[in-house]
Amino acid sequence: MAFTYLASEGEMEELGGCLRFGRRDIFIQPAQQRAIENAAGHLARETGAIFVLVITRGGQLLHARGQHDEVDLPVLSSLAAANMAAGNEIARMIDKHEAFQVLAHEGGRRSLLMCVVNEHLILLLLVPRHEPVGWVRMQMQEAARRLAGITPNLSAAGAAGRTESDDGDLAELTDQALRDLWTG
Amino acid sequence: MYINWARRELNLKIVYYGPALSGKTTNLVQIHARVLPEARSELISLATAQDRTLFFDFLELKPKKILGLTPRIQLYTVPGQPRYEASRRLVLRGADGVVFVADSELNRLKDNVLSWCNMRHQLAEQGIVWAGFPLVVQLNKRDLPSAIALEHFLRAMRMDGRFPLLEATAIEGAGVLDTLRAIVGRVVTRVQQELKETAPVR
Repeated sequence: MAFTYLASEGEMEELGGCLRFGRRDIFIQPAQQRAIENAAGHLARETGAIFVLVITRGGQLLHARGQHDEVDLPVLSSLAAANMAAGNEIARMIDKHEAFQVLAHEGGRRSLLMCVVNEHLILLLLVPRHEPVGWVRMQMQEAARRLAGITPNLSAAGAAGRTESDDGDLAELTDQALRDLWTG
Repeated sequence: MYINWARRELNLKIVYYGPALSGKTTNLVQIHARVLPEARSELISLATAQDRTLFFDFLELKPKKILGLTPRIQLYTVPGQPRYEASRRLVLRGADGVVFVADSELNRLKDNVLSWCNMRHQLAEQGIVWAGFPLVVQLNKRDLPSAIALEHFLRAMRMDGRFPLLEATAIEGAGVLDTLRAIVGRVVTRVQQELKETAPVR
């Protein structure tokens, strides 16, 4: 069994977003995923980045490009999102209309830059220190604009896919999977 | 919740909330210690020099693929100390479910009540509809000689059985998995229900 259903755009509109829990859920469609991967790949090439991450603002990794084998990506994603969220809270305290669009951490050998794409996504880059930060920042902001165009309203896409079986008890199976992880 | 249909990933965020020193971090430490290493991330703790949570703890669980879907369950704690109100608000944002970790110590009852009210206020601020929101209460430190009686706790917290309540001694690992199973079950049931309701008829 596999996810076999993708709704048409009209059907997606009928879904009317996903605010069931009173918050914005995010749904990524295959075409959006491909476009995100292309944009991240282009950015990595242009900037000589060690890696590029596309992360939700809730800290969930959407795409990783580059040399990241030695990095715990879920942890890095959650920290990056928290860093960005904390930065924006600081900005709001200073000026309630202000928001930091770019955060940069310049290290001795590498620099890390983060940029807000839109209400859903963050872009993160790790670049060697010798890459000019101004150039990298410009490329990153350009990529962010491109990504914002690809992903204008991810919550409105709704539950446009389906689980592979409407009859399968996802909760029961997840429960079993959790028990299988437990070593005692 | 974040679903990536291209990668068949279901990402869920669960937040452990509760008063300072009630055992939120201990829950994550125990989960980290008892789960197969290949099925989890590292546990990170943004803590003060005194080992008190400053921002949050984080741990991701990666159970096996289910119905073609790869679940990724992200566990966060909030800092319990009253001064970290802003941090709690940030961590709670986007939560799919909450575990409220209460302290059984009799003289911490007021702290439990204040934290419970604080959580309700913050969820409401985020527009979360209280009714039906996946929430589980863990009454921790049941091994204490001065532990509050269950009935007394329920009455004081005005919990009329609307939320599942699990007793635990997290420091020994007791009740930790049961709590995790309870909250994940509720969140996943809600997700499946939501997908069924919103997906067009084939």
